[in-house]
Amino acid sequence: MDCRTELHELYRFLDREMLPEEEAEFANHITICLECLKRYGFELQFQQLVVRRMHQEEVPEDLMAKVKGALRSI
Amino acid sequence: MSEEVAEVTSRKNPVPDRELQQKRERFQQEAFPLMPMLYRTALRLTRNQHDAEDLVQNAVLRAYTFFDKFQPGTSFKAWIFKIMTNLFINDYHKRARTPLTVPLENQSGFEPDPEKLFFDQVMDTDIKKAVEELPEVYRLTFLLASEGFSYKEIASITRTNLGTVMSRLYRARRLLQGKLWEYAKGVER
Repeated sequence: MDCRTELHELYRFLDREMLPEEEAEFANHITICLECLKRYGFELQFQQLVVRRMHQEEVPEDLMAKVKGALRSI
Repeated sequence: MSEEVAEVTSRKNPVPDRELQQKRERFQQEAFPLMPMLYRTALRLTRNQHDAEDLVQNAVLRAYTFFDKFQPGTSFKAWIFKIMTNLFINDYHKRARTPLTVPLENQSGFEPDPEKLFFDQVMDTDIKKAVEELPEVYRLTFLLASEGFSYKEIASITRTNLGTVMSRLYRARRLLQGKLWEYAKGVER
C-alpha cells in the first residue's frame, strides 16, 4: 500500500483523458505496480458493469412515434 | 448551399414544404440515433418513465427549433445533451422531491478489493436504483461520462470547470461503489 498514485489519476487513465505521453507513462506504471493494476482492474470492471446495465434500456415505441409526429407538426 | 436565398424567400413566402422536409430529415439523421442515449439518461435523471419521455420529447423539439443555431462541425451529441440537461435543471428538478444540493455524505468510500465476490454480488443488486439514489449533480456527471463524453464536454454541458467535473465524477463513483457494497453485504446475509 505504498503507491502514491491518486485515484483521480487512475480515473483520468480509465476515461482516456490523459495526454499520449501521460497515458504511456501510466500504462507502463501499471505493468510494474501491482496495487495500481488491481485498482485499475476493479475500476474498469465496475465501469463496464454499470454502463452495461445503464444501456439495457430501450426507447419506448410510442415515444418515437410521438416525437416523429411532433416534428412533422412544427 | 443556397441558405441565404432560402432565408430571403422564407420571409416573403412560407417556407416551401420540400425545404422543411429536408431540414427535418437532416435533423432526424442526427438526432434519432441518439434517442437511446437521451432516453436512458433522461430515465435515470427523472427516475420515472413518464417524465423521462417528456424530457426527451421536449429536448428533441427544442433542438429542432434551434437547429439553425447548431454549428456544423461541432458535436451534435454534446449540443443536444446540453439542451436536455438545461431543460432538466430548469424544469424538472424544481418539482423533484429532493432539492439540487450537494449533501454532506459520509466519507465511507469502498475499499477496492478485487479478489472479493463484489462483482458477483453486485450482479444481483439494483445498479439502476443505486445510480438513481446519487445526488443530482453527481448523477448527471456520472451519466454523461457513461455516455462517453469527455471531461471537457461534460464541463460545457453542465456549465462548470474541469476540476469540478473530475471531483464530481470521483465522488459519484465512490458513492456508487459504497452503495453497491452495502447492497452486496445485504445480499450476503
